[in-house]
Amino acid sequence: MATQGAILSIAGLSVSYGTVHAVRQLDMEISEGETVVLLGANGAGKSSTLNAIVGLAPRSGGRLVFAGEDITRKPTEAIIRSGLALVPEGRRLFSNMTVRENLRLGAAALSTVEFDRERQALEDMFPITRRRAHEQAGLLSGGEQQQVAIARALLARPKLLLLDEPSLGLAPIIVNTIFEIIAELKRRKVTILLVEQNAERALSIADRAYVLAQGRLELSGAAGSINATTLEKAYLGEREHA
Amino acid sequence: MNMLAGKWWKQSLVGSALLLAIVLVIVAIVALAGSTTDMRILMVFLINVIAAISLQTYAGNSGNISFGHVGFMAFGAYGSALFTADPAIKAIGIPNAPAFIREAAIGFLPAMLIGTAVAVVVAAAIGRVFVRLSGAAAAVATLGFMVIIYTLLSNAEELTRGSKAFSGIPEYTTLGWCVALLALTIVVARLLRDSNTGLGLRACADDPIAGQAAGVDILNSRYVMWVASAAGAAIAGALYAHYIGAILPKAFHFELTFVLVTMVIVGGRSITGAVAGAALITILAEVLRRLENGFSIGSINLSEAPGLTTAVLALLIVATLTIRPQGLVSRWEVEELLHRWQFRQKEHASVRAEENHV
Amino acid sequence: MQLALQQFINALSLGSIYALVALGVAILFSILRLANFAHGELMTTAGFTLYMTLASGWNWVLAVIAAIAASVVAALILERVAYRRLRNAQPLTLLMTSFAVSVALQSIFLLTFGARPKGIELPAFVDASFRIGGMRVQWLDIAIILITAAIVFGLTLFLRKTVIGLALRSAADDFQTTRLMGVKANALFVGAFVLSGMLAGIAALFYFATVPNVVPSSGFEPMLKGFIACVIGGLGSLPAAIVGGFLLAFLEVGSDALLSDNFSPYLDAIVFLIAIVILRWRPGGIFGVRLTAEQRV
Repeated sequence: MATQGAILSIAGLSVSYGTVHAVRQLDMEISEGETVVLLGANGAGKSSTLNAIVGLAPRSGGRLVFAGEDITRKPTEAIIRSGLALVPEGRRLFSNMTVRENLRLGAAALSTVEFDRERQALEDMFPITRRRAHEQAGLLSGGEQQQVAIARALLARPKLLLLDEPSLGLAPIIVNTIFEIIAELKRRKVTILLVEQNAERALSIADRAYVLAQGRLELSGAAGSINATTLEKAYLGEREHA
Repeated sequence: MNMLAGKWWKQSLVGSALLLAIVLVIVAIVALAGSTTDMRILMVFLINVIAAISLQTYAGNSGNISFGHVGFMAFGAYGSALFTADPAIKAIGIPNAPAFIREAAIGFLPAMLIGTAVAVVVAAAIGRVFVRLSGAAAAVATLGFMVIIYTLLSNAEELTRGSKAFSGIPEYTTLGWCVALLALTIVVARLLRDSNTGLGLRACADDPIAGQAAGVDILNSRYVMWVASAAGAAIAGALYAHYIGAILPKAFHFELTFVLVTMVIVGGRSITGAVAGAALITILAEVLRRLENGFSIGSINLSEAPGLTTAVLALLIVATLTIRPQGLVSRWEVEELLHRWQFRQKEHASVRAEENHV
Repeated sequence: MQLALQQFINALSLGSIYALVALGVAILFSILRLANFAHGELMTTAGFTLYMTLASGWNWVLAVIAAIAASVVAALILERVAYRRLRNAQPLTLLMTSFAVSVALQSIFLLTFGARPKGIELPAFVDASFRIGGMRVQWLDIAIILITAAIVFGLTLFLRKTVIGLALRSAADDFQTTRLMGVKANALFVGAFVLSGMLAGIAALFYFATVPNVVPSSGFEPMLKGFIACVIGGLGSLPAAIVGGFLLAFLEVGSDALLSDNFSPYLDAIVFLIAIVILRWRPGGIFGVRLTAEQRV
């Protein structure tokens, strides 16, 4: 069922924590160079989907193919090494380590020479990682931490970047910066799967969108085809199912 | 099964009676059909059960392990032994002991109470430190406490004969004493467990923040359990001393700690768990001991292989923990297990009935 | 004054041994939340290896290498056989498992070597000493102090400059996110156990050079002191483990010097009592490390 050009295809993915079904029978596809946004209310299963893709959430069914390879049964580290990167919700920097050390871990598989080359390329896009390279990551502000977290994920030059609620908990002006960064990544042809609460901003930047409600796929299509009304229906759609 | 409603202690008493009944059945079987050796094993088992339940009263409720309770057993054992042993024997064995100890010859119960009181005083004095610790830090600190008591006992020659055996302890411990004190231990342990203090403490062990938000005073609750469990351990120690007739500091060291803590962890987080764990470990140790006497593998004669029983026992424990990390009975008491079993039977029955209907 | 200086060197040397044991314990605890009570048996493994190799006439350099290798191999076997399956277990289960493993190993030593102490035939230079003024100083103490300093320095470099070192540190902070960096979980566990085994081996060399005979339960005492050092420093932090180790040694040597000889059999009891008093005021250790029992892999 994998379409030509699909970098990631998900078929029938289910995630359950014990008896709680977070995601049910999800089908999804992302093509190279696309920016896809995954929307949904709180608890709709968005983060679970991302975590299941990288093998951190318990997958109870379905099949995942990434870059032509079946990654369904692979451990997290192998999936990451095959070219996926996840910026987790809440950024999760190693707060006791310096910014530079955080970046170095983002390129754990690279040699020091390769790392330095990649890092210098990224520092122009994320000046913060140069300016505050030797400071403790935990002392940075939320927006700065988010930038470091994205830079850290980009260091290994992932084929697909998963972003889990990058604007969560940030001041509106900082949210602008983060969305500018995402727009810049899009211009640079980075393939992105974005999970967001801020539906309007996310749709304005994305090519396509999927909407989840109660773990089920409620709506999907070109980002432009989804407006406030259809979105509201999809969000409320969960009521009809419940 | 709402502990908060009405007379919660009724269920505690029913549960205690049920658990005691099970133990009594075992006692009856061994007393009627067992050999002298079996009786000895039974007695040691009953004493261990008292010790394990006491330890469980602290560990099971607080979620904190203690490696130090053998120290309290030692207080009970030495305390009781010193006041009951024949003054003539003491005049030779510990001539430099204070006169009130050297010349004392009191009954079993008062002597046991003295030993228990000493343990309680020590537990109350140091308890505040241990209740503030948790996890590995608690384990390490209590292990340190065990070593402190061991060092004191092995060196206080005027009182304990140091690392030499203190013998000539009257053998007062009978099956009756064991059963009676076990009954007492079970009832007190159940009442403590089901009381608001125990309930709150167990809630905190699962989720400290939620527990404290609900108004549980963790430190004071742990402290109550700590002191109570020290008393129980001391009683077990006294019974042990008066059963074996001779004690030495090494008896209250690493090995006994291992046995007790294992009973508690392998059994599960309840009073029933402590009993189940004690039973399992006793049976395992006994089977291994008999194998050791009866077989030899290749050139190794197992009866001449000290340490084999312990090695195999320890490995079996590792295996048990790997297979069933929550312990034999998890966190349930005997009557709760029965309820759960009945409930499942009913469910099966209703499912079957439905199937038949279709 | 001279006596004080001599005691100071003694305390530094003893503290070095405790610090090495404490470091070995702290590495596993910080990354796996595993309180490995079998750490003492890793030391005993090195001790028996030292006994066997030296008794059969090996060159001491080879014997030293063999002893360290033996405790590393033992650590790896423990990881594979006992701990790997329990990565998601409750902390209490892990604790009990390590306790049981410790008992099992002691029993196996007893089966293999018997209960009688085995004297280790140390090379003569271990006893060599020199004089400064009227003070006699053992070369061994100086070597222990310097080598420990070098090891701590090397370990610091390793943890700061190499990717696997960084990964070990980040795993102690947040294990799942470390895996998100593509770092293999198994590599982390193996790495931590190798480091811990090496530290146990080296600590054992120093320990048995000062107490030159080995019995099945030899490792218990240094293990317990290492753990207590960790706890009074702050369980889970490497610098705290080192500080705790030296603090414990200074308490021990200091109490021994200040108290009359009547008390010397009670030395351990006194030192542990002081440690417990410290914990009364600082339950999280001197550095007050607060660790959450988060989910491990």
